[in-house]
Amino acid sequence: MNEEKFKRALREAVETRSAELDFFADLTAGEQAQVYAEAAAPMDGGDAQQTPAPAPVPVTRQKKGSRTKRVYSIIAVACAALLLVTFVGLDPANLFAGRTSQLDSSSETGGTTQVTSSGTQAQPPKTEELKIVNAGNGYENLYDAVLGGNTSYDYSETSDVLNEAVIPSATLDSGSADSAESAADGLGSAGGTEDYTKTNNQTEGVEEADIVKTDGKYIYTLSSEELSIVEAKNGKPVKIASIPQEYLYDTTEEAIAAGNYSYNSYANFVKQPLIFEMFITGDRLVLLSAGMREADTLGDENKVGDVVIDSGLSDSGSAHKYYTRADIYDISNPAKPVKLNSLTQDGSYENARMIGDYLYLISYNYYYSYPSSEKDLASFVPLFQVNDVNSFIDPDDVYIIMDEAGEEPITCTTSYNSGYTVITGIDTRKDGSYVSQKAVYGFDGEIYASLENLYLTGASTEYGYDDGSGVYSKEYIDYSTRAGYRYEWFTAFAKLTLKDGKVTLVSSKRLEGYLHDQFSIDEYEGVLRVAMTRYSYTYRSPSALRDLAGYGGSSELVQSTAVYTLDEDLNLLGMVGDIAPDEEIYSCRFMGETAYVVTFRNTDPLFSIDLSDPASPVVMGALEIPGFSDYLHPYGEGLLLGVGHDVDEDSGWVKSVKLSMFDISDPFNVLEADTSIISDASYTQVSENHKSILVDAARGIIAFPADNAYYICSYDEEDGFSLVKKLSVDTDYKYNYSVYPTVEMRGIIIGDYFYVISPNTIVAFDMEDDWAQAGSAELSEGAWTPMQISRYGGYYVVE
Amino acid sequence: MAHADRAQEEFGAYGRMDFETVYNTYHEELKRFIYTIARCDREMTEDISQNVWQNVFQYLSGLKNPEAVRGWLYTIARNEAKRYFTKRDVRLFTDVSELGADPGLEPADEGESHFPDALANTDLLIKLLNRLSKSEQQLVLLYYYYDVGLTEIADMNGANYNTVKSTFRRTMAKLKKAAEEMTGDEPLRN
Repeated sequence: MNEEKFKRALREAVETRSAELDFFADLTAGEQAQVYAEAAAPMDGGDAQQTPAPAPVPVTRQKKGSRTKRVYSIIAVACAALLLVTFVGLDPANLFAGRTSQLDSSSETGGTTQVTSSGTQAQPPKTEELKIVNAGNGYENLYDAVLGGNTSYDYSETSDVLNEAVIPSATLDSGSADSAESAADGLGSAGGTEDYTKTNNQTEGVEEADIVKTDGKYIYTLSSEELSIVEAKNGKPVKIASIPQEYLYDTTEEAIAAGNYSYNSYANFVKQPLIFEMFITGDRLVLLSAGMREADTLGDENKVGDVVIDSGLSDSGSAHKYYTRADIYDISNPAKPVKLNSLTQDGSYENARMIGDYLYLISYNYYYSYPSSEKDLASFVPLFQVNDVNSFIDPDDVYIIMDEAGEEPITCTTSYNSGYTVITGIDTRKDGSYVSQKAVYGFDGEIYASLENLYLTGASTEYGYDDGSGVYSKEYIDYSTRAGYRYEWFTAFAKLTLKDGKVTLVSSKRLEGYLHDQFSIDEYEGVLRVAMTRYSYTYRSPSALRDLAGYGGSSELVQSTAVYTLDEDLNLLGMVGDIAPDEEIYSCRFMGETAYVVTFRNTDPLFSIDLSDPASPVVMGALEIPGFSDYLHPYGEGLLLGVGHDVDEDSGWVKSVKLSMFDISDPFNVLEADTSIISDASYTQVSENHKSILVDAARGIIAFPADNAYYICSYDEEDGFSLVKKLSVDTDYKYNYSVYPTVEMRGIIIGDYFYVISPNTIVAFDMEDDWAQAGSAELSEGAWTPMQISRYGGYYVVE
Repeated sequence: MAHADRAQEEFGAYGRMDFETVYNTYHEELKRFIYTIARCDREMTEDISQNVWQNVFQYLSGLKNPEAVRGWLYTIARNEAKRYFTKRDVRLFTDVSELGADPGLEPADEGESHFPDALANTDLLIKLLNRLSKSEQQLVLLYYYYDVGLTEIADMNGANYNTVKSTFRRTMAKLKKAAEEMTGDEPLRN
């Protein structure tokens, strides 16, 4: 589709439905009075009335440029008031007609619920009890779920679901005797010192995948061309081996000449690499790739066991299936990596974690089309391959989480299409094998893993429509006749335990609100803490008389931040709500018994929240500063690093990248100790990917990529931030569709040397010799950082 | 559009343009335009609007061609907005000593060539727009509805052109990605 259709839709939105656009919300609200006032006095060049601005929040603004900031502490006084209340049917408009949502009375949850006295969002969130069902012997429950049918579900399996399932399939490892070996240390010591930078994981001991890994002696780095294996050699890096990339399409001259692909006049043909992230542990290298394949080509001759299967997908016009694959290599001799096994699962890659030698791989598979029949298993049942051998998931390993009434699967995806999450536990020792294969219907949101548990989340907006009676019900009413609509964000949680590769679903709950990112969830001493934005938007249509070009409607957006604490069964223990009304969470970090949350609208309050008593979280303080932080990182003792942006206070434009160091030694009185603006950087990858930053408080080094450069900064308490080195990278951008190739960089410290790694080169600097360049190695010319092929197709060639 | 038709009728009937007619006809849409540039700041919108209408009052008699009036009004609005912003003092503080040159990004076309079909659906478009931040929504509206180029957007807002461009690119990428997410668009291949 070209620009014209898009512009037409936009024109329609602005000219006839502008009242539905949040952007004009304030304008149209004022217009209600205006439309009538003007009928009387059109000559007045200005507006006759203005609706009064909301009362300003009484906080002291920070002055730019000064080093120590005064702080305005808010102690939410109402939090100190202990109220024991039971809530039933919170919302008088009864948005969720037909579904009971009530908070269990306090005796069930075993804790008191604190309530602040202002605003409905200070009330405890609506929660829901959910039922778990598995697929049924012939996968009929899954089939019904996909079709969105209301046929009755087979509950006979329910009682077995939460027990340890028997794993019958031949491809699964029955568990080896030497499981005592699974120690908690993720990176083995295959040579090299311990004094090296590891990936910036959220949780200690729970490894996350990345494009660069090191064991202190060798550096492994992925690019669009290859995986390069480099020996660090004390500042004189040397490439010793490589594993070539794989690509989605055949990009050889012959294939292109054969005319199988189209060209875009703006861009040249862009290769789409499949291998995008990796892990290393002990003697094992795990390469993760994600791609797409023709649905007809599934492993060995489309067979599962002896049965030939027909995917059925090619009939429906959606002939592609996304997959995620783990390739296990033996790197006991890094110069000669040996491939052992390939393990493939349905769905495009979501996330992965390694705990000890066990890999937990999570993918999400959308249903782009309906299965042709119940018999056509390959079109809707999760499928696995070990090398070329196919197998279906065991029906008892499929979980479908139902709403309280037990009638329908809950909505826990942001997409219109349904899908399922596949979670596998893989033992990387020996040749690599599946220990556990599970699938959960839905859940395409943030993922968080602690050493023992994995939490899947799925967000959805629940809509209600008002036919004029003031009651918002789920029944859809067209915009030309309805009196209004409302939607609220909800997030469902599914908790799975992880033990030596075994994955088991244990509980599931749904709560009001949505999560910002994986750092908004944290498990600590058996309590799950989450920082959510509660968001409810109500729009009331204009009445026919006032409907001039869409003016006259009114909308109400109620938004605030809440921190909830949940017990091991995901029941609500306590909460503190209505923090920063009208603002959104921009970053969050849980540090033991304290949480730091940054919210933002025009300024950035950094809240510190006391979680030492999970039943009564309390806001301890708030620091108001200009700009905002996208990422928070604990720094040494009593300091918190924030990486984000500066914002122009008048126009609200987001400006340059900003570093802030907060003094959190007294959480009731957080101070901004230092700040530094990097005026030539408008964007940093740290805002979206926490793995791109290196923070070494012991050495006082903070390094990260921004725009097309890599910044190495130092920090000390006397002088604040200073720039040590800035390295620019030449990039040859090929602008193609909605994604353009990026060049990601990483920094690694090994001993006294700082290595800066880009897809083309590694450069080493001697930190003891005033950062003189010690050595470098060329990797691949013209390479860029592989981006995973997402479920949306990644980047591709367009006509 | 209803207002333009009305304008034709009124001007045609009276054979002239008087301030009152022009104001009645265009006041609302112009206010919306100024509101967009002002990023929903109502005080700023009032300020700029006042300046605009003062100019219109003063110079309207010099404009002979009724058909040109709409374009003329928008030009005045853009100029007044720019004037308003350049009065502001935009300072950048930095403690970082080494300021590098602009990283050599290849200047690409500003516009986008391809849109997922889903974005032709107004219902979906409204939903997605509402999920963007205010700055992002403003960019989309200014660029694609009001046809204001990125350079001018940067000028009017006292922002850096490269910042505006990269934000614009990212915003459009987000919008398209979200649209595909909603409908599961497949990648294209011959």
